[in-house]
Amino acid sequence: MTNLPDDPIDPYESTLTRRVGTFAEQVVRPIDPVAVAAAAHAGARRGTLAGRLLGGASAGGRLILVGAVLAVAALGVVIGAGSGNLNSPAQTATANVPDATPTDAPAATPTSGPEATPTSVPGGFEACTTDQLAGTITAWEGAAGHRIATVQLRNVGNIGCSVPDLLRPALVDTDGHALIVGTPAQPTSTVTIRAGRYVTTQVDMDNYCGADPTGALRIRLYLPSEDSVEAAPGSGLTGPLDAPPCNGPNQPADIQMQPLQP
Amino acid sequence: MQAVIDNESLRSAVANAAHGDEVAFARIVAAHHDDMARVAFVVCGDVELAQEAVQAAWQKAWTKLGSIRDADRLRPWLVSIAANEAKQLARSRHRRWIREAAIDGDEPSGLRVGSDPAGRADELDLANALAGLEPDDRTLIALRYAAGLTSDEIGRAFGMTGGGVRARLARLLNRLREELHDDQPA
Repeated sequence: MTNLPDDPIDPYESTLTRRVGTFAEQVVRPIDPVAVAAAAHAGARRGTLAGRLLGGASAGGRLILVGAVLAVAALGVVIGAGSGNLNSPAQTATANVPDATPTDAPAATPTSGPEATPTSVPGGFEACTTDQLAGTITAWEGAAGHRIATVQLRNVGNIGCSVPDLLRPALVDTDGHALIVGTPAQPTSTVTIRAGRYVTTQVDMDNYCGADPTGALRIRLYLPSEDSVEAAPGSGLTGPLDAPPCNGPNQPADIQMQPLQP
Repeated sequence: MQAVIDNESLRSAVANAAHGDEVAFARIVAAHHDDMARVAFVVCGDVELAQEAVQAAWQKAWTKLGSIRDADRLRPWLVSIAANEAKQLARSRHRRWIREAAIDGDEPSGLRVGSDPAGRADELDLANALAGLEPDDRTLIALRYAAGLTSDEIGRAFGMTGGGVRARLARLLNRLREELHDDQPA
């Protein structure tokens, strides 16, 4: 419920605040913030008029938000009340963004947020920062409606560092737009990467029902700091990577990774 | 329920989101979406339209987030965008406000009224009173009493002085107190 600001105008304000707050509460619905963010990004990219995402003019945009709400409802999720932690286990799984138009990707480049700082990880090594990591997709396989990417995460720094064995994965295009975003990671251990060495994982994804990708895709892995490393196709891969096929537009897309292993 | 985000995390999220980080942006969404929806609903009086306005507001926020230099001003900025989007959408769709609810005795699309008769009457009275206001006045009411903005914060959003906002709100308060029969100050 809304608190009255600390510059009172009239004693009646407290009554009106209560009445307006009760009245307005009926519009509040559970949402999937990741899906809302992805839709905002997609809408901004298209440069469409404000409001089209849910309006009659854009069935695709409506699908995004309706899907986000339904996904939340289906899972019985209520966004982390009072926790302030988006990585709540109750967070919904994935966001499928239909209007993405990926383009060819250049070489793998780690991306870094402005406040990436190493933090201590049990085991004696500092947590890897994005500056220390370079990602490469070394294999891209299809099986039974899925796509499975083998991702190599190499320590390009001068000292060893550690990462959780599970990170939050996403399938992204070259503009950084997330086509499918995975659930927040629930790591069970940390993996040490010595300088110059690498660890690998397999990322399994399915049911992308957006626009046909036109170029190579990337896999983004979010570190606990929420900075991310992107893996682009390595030189050994030929041809563009194809997104996982659509198995059902009414079902959410999914992306999961196996634990990182030396 | 809306997620709570501390100031330091908020500043970090704003900085990262301004660089295109969707997950950081999602943290901002989680912290502010409900407030924006409440404000949009008070402005336009329609649940679906309000949700649409909020999504449009997020799209606008995505493109302009880099202009926010002070994270403390993020919330007033976001709810003001939501209010404006709701106002513009209602105007473009030629939507009437929800006065029909009281006149016809039916629930208009998207409007839920409480099952308890007293609560229902309160909500319909307020809906009726809001319906009689000009869109700009509903926006003032929404920003002040649904979002809890100060008069200075509202003034910045409206291009008015804080004093001007207070004077206009005082007139609105008198009008609403009379129409809602809330004659006894709390």
